[in-house]
Amino acid sequence: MTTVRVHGATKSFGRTRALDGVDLEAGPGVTGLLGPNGAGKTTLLRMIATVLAPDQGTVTLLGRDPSRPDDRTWIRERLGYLPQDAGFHRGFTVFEFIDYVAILKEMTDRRARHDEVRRVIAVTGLQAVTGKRIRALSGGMRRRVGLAQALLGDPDLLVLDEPTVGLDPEQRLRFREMISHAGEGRTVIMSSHQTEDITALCARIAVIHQGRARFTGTPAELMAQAAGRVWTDTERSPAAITAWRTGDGAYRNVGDPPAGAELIPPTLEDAYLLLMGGSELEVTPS
Amino acid sequence: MTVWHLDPETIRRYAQGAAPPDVAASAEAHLMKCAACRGAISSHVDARRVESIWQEVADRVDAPRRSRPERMLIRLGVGEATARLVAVTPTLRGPWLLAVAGVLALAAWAAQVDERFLLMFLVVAPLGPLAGVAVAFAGGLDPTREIGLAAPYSGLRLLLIRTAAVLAVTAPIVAAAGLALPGSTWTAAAWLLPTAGLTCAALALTARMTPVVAVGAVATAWVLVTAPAAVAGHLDLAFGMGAQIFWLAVAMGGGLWLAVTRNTVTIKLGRSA
Amino acid sequence: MLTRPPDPREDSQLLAAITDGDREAFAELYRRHMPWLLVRLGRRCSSPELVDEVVQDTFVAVWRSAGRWDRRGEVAAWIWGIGIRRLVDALRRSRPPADELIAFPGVERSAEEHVLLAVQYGDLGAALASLSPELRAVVQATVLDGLTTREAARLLGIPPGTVKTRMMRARAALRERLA
Repeated sequence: MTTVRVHGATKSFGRTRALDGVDLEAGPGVTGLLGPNGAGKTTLLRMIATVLAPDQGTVTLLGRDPSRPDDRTWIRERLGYLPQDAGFHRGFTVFEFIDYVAILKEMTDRRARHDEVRRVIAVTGLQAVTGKRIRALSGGMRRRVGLAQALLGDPDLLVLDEPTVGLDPEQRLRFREMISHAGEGRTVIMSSHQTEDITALCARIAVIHQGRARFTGTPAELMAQAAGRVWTDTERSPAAITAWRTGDGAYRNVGDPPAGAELIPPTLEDAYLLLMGGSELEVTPS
Repeated sequence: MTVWHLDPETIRRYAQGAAPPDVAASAEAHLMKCAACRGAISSHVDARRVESIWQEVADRVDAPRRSRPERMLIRLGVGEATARLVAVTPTLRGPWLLAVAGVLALAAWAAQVDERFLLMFLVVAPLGPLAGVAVAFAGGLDPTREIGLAAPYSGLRLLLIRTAAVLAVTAPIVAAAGLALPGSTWTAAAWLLPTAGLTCAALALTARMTPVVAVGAVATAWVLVTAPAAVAGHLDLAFGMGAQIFWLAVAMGGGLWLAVTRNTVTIKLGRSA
Repeated sequence: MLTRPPDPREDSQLLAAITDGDREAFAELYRRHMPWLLVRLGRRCSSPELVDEVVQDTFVAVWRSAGRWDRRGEVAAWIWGIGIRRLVDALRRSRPPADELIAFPGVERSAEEHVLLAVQYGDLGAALASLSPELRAVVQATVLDGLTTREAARLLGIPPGTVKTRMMRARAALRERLA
């Protein structure tokens, strides 16, 4: 079942082309958008969150067309969105902030709204800081508050822009748990530039680069593209588009292996690097 | 610390209100110091009563703290959810109102010094409320804007609520500054209809552009038209009866247009909606 | 919310956490202290609805003013202090007839009442039992519940002057009895 369908979407800001004909399809479960900064992930997610309309192309969400006002409201009633730079009224307490978003989500009955706020606070494990002001919270806790507001009203479509950015390893694991739980029975679209998060969570991935989807499929399919293209050696191979020395002193080479090379199983990261064609070399460890 | 405890029978009788005075007295004295015996009372108390009071307590404890203006709005019959949306409007914070009051006080003072500045006051007066409307929707000041854009709450409704709130607060400031003016009293009110007209025009324009841009366009047009007239001394041209009727018509036309198109138009609260 | 494993924190630590906005700590404090407060206030007011309302007010006040606890003595005694004063206020607002109040006898330690400090509870209980219900109620309100003369007068629905004279008569009777 396809719940999110983006077809040939383009979007320009001034002379910058953020999206250049993106196609994306997603259904229930967690779908990950992978790609370098500035690839267009955020623009695509804002489109799926009904915040942005494409210049060209079509977007269909939960079977409806967000460019029509009635449909758009209908979609928004079933949508949770965690923006990349989720802002907060810093003087608000956690409860007050989530309650405020709940008002924007048209929950007008005070009693029912407060019950719902308490529910998402419990789901995200924020009970201990319910009455705390947001400005007094750590970055990880704030991220959790952002996730809590996105879960208000039990949405069918959850759009999470870099949900795990800035989290320490323990918080990241906790977040993965919450996101995978959220992915049961609903459509979750999340972006990340952490391949580990994507590998751990996503049934499907789309690699976005320079405003286009370079790959869509399962993590295993992406990884299969790198099969036979990763090998280990005592030195950096000239045939590698990227290579780095690992903890055991050997070099891990990614590229086109010479004959007789000692092949090793690829990771999602290797496949991602190959797909990027080495354009990401400057950010890889060497 | 305390090794002695109330026996279960005493606790039961005390909890059920059946203990004689002296027993109850010593039980109460002991309870203040003994967590174990306090805990033992729980089993004699109606759990539903404990739970239902907890629900009330939890709701009051969580409930947002409301500022005085917000409580006032609720007392006036505004829904609590709407009152909250108004209270969060960035313009309605002290620094902004002070800035508006400051500019107008300066204009009023200038008018005292030189009659010609009176005209400048009338040119400046509508800009205060208009700027307030723009600030209410300036992205940088509303940190939750991005989340709000993806929420089902009607953009037009939010626009109108916040605009009304801004006008309700800034208009009295302008009026107070107007009363400080010298000369004929009608000038103190001559800015009212232009302000209403400009605001409605700006609101109608939000179908095409963001509120900030809409207000900017309207304000620029206003200054370009009225400032030369005011400098040349043609007060009537800008603020006379004809002009007042024109602005009334603009206000009504803008309002009517919003009312007719309210279900079909897409309000651009942000960079794009 | 009310059926979780016990929290190892002490009452004073819970109050400190509540100052930081910790709702879990607050729920735990409520679990520990609400039942006895309900019972004890219930012995001083015949209207369960009013008691419910006062208990609710008390815990809301505990949440809001946890930072004002002076860190001395039992947290339970502090909560009681808030609760009994809320009851006094509530009774004054509803202006009940005096007979709606239960004549409540009893006794507890009090720093200012040296007479009472010097004796065993058993003896004192018996001594109190010998007082007339009016005198007993005054001793209870001022000594045991820790109210001021004015507050006791409101609780009992009698003028403050009467509280003072009854307290003097009660003291004299107790001294005689315990001598």
